[in-house]
Amino acid sequence: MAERGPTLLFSVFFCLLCYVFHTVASTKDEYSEELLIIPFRSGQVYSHFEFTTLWDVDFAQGGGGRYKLQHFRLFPRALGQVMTEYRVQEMHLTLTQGMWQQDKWGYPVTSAAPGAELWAWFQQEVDDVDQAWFGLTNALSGLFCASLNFIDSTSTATPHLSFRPQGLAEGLFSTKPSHLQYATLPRENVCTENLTPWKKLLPCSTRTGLAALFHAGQLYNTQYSSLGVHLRPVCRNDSCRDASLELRQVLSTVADPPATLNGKQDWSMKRYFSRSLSGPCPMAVTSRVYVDVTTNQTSSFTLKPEPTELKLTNYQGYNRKLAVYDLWSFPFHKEHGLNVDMKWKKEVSYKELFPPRLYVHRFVTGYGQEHGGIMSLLYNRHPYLEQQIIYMELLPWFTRMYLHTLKVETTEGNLVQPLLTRYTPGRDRQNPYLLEIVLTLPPDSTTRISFSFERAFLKWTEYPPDANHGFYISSAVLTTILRQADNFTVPPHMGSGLQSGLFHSSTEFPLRLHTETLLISLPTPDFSMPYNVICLTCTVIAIAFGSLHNLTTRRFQYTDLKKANSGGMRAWLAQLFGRGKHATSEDKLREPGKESEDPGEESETSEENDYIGEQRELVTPRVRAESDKKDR
Amino acid sequence: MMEGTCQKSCSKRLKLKDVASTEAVTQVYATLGVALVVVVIGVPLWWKTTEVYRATLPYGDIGQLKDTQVIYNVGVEFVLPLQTQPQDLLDWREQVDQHLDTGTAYSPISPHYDIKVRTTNKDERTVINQNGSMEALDSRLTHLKPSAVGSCTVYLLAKDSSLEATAYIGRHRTAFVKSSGDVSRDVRISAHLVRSYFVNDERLKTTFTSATGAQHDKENIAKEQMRAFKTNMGYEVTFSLLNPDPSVLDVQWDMEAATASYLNPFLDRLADVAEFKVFSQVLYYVDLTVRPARDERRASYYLTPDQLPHTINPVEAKLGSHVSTYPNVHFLVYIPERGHSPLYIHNEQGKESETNAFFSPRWGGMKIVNLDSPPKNASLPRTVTLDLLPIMETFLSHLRLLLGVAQLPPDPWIVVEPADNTAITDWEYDHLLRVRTVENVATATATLATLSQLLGEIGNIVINDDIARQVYLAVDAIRKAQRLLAAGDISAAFQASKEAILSSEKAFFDPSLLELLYFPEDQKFAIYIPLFLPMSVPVLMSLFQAYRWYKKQQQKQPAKEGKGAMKESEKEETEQDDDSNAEEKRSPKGKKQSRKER
Repeated sequence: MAERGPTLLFSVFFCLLCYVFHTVASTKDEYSEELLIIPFRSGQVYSHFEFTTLWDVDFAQGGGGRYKLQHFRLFPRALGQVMTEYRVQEMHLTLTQGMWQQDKWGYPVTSAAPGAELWAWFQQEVDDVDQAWFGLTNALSGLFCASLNFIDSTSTATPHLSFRPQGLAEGLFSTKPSHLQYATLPRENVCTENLTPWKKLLPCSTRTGLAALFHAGQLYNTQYSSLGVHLRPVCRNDSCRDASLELRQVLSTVADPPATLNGKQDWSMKRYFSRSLSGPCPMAVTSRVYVDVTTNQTSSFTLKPEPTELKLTNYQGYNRKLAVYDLWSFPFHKEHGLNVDMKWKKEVSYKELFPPRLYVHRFVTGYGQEHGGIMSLLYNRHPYLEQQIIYMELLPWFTRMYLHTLKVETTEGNLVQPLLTRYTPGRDRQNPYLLEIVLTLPPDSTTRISFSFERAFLKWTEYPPDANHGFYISSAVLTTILRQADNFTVPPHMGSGLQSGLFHSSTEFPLRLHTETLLISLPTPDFSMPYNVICLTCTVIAIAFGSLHNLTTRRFQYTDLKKANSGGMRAWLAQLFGRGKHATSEDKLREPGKESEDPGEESETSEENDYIGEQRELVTPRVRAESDKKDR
Repeated sequence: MMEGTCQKSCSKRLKLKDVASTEAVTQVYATLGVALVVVVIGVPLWWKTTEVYRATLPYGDIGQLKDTQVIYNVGVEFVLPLQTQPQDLLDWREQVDQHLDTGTAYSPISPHYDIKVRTTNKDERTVINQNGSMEALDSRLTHLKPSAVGSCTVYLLAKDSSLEATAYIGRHRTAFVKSSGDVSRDVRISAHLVRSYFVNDERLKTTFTSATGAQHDKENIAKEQMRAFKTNMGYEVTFSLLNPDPSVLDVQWDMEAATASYLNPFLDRLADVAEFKVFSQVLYYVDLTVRPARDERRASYYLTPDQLPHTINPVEAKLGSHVSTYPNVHFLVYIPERGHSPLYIHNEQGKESETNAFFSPRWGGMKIVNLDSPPKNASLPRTVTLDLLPIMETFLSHLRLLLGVAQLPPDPWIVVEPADNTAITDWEYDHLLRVRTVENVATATATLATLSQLLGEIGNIVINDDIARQVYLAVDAIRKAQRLLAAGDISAAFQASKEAILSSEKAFFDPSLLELLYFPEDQKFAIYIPLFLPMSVPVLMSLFQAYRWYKKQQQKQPAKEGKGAMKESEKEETEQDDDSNAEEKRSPKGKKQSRKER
């Protein structure tokens, strides 16, 4: 049973992915744009933009390379060239600011880890995957102005279970498991500098169509904002004899009207994007806005203007009502465009929150600077169905994971036996720790996965700027297939575009969830230390040398201070700090002429010990000779 | 009385003095010992351990390369009609030698013509006697006896031949001159064809001198050279269709077919010269930021020459892709928007340009294509498919210029057969290869010279073995290219020069050269100051003491010598003097005087 479980799951996964297709294929390339707006029960408003470009590329062409993209029309050349150059078969890049709150908002259309997440399948013919990955990350880094160039072997892993190809993966497109590369940058900050190059990839840029709503200042003034670029080969038609290349550009935001409007829930395009729509992108075959009005059964809000169509969908007894604005049939006026306006009757009308069937939370445990731990809580709220899941944890090398401490149990204390555990130990400064486990979550339970790790000492150059801020650990990934779609914003679909998910029913729903990123602190040294060490060492050596030198080149002798006379500055100083008063009184009694008579007496003492002359007891004749000269 | 006391204490004092002086000597030796260890072992050790790694470079060879004269060999064959008198043949030979003689004046680059003068053979005669166009004659003769890459043949045709102009240059490596009966005239024309068309030694010379950086004065640099790209391993040629308003006109083009039929023959011909990658893209909602002026009379709009540079800059940000390191050659087709249509480019004289296109040196070109605006009541957008033949013709001529194919001034007496669909004739190709080879050799030499000068001047640049290897490779490749040029094998010379430029640039732009550039010598000292300062003070002090002691010894010597002449009393008095009292020693007279006063 334990053996059969995971294989069953994977075969299901594979089969689903085999039937990826889209139906319309009259032109060589086509473009569609869609926007889905959902008011959440918690008062926030979710807007999800989806831009899909399908291109009937001749895949078989071009000898070694699977495809050679040369003559671009709707597909962006900047991206196409990168894909050709590094022979990428499938690529998924998300740049996200903020954390998706699963328990409040349900599941997003596309789940994304906070920060940057990139995974790519390379074509089978690629020999040096590391080299291609290095090139790809650097090219994308330049293309999207993100720090993807910091992805190196220490943050890259090859998960075997969690990230299967989402597009075609058979025949011409079959690849090797080693050709998957996955990396995250949890610390990445996403902002307008990433949005600008992302917008440039759209054929209509931001001049017309839905992309005209992009106002960077508004998009990033939200609770959650995520950019995505997804590229995969899909079936060209039902027979699936030919394939097309699908580029999905996704932008999701969650705005919080009550927070910005003194508790009012009203939402409108003009207010939240500071623009209204002026018309569809002329190249788009589909240009639609969907507003989810399922929660409006009691007509708690009014929607203006009237939608062009009202659509009811039903999957597995779960009803959904959508107001559809088709920009191609919407009567646009010259002066004012389409401004979808949601006005609530009451000031606030929050509803009870239902957490989804399956969700996950993750924490750091432990204390001190040496050891720590990570704990994840996996909630399966389904009353009678158990759920098989794949849990993946990717830890950087400096959190050395102890596999023997891995413990999977329910909160009641029953041990849960993992069906499969794949563990790739990390190596210092080379690769991260990767753990993938396949579990069956019992119905209506909370399962706890915990393990501990040891914090490593870094070399002082390995610390990032602001080292005391701490180090991020990327989110864990939970992958599964759900049998019910009631918690999905848009049920996962095999076709292209949002509408296939919204209006076609399916029986199995693949789901990926990302947990919170974690922030841990490592032992941090004092960074001025190296300079201090240099100074200290040098001083110690210099003192040792100085003393040694003095000992070898000088002799210390006692002289009679009374006879040793003075007049010069140094002698005067010597006397001042020594038996000052006595000496000076004697000095005064003496006549300057007489002093010159005496020097001979002391000439026996060392001639060269000027240095010692500064010591209180030892005054050299040399000093006096000088003083003589001065006196004269 | 004074003397008495002295005699008593003097012996004791002398003894003590002996002890003191031996001790002083020991101290001085100890001091010198320490100083010696510091200077002889410490400083070199520190110097050696903090030194940067510098591999040895062939500085001498690089200097030599710079002064080597580049000679290129050109095989020239003059074929005269059979009926030429033996005397005329000799005259020919003599005069051709004269005309193609490079003279004795030194030039860094100079041609060497391998001249052959002969009469036609039987096969050639049959071909020449066949009636037909010059084009056919050219191709038949070439078929009969193909000349090697880089060489050329000039046929002298009889007076009664079908050739109308004075001279004709075919597509291959053959030229024809119509005999005028006057040997010196024929020779002059033939030599002119060779020198100015086939070889174009003036251009080679300017290219070479400006590539070495010897000539900074801009007027002398060939204009063509400013236009053309520098030699690269490859180019990315991108055709972009700019459609500022797709809601009115849906412009389509079949670039795939157009590149296959118009562009690829040319690029395939140049496959040995560089690698080409061709891309095309359509950009929507991209418009020019400059406002065209309106020509009321003709109900059209126009752009003035000074506006043209401003049209490119804003567009450029949307064109690029930075995956490869090859330079991008951009060709833009702009469809004016409805409000500014038709749009023309005016030249300096205010006249409409014929091609309605312009060319930007080392960047690419742009062509404005005016399409009929759809009538007001038509359903929008209207789909239009572009006719790519005129567009590709313009761009092909631009591309020729950008790649450095020579453009010669037209001469009414000389008919130059235009190239076929490959857009480049054989002799133009030869010339291109030769120019590129010469340019590469000059550039690589200059790069190496600059590098060696730089490395010589800045001592703290790390030179690792990889850079040294690249430099050696480049030196070898330059030598090889020079040798092959002198042998007349330009294809191989070009490949060698390509290697030379690749290696030299690799060495020059190696990032490791910069690593320690910002860690100069004075910073090294600054870091070690906490060690050096406290250590050097005692060492220097004792060295100073030692020096003083030595000085004193020196002074004692003459003092002792002078003692013999002194009187006894004086001698004793001097001996009383404190050794350390240099002041008194230096002026024994003054001392004596002061004593007497006392």
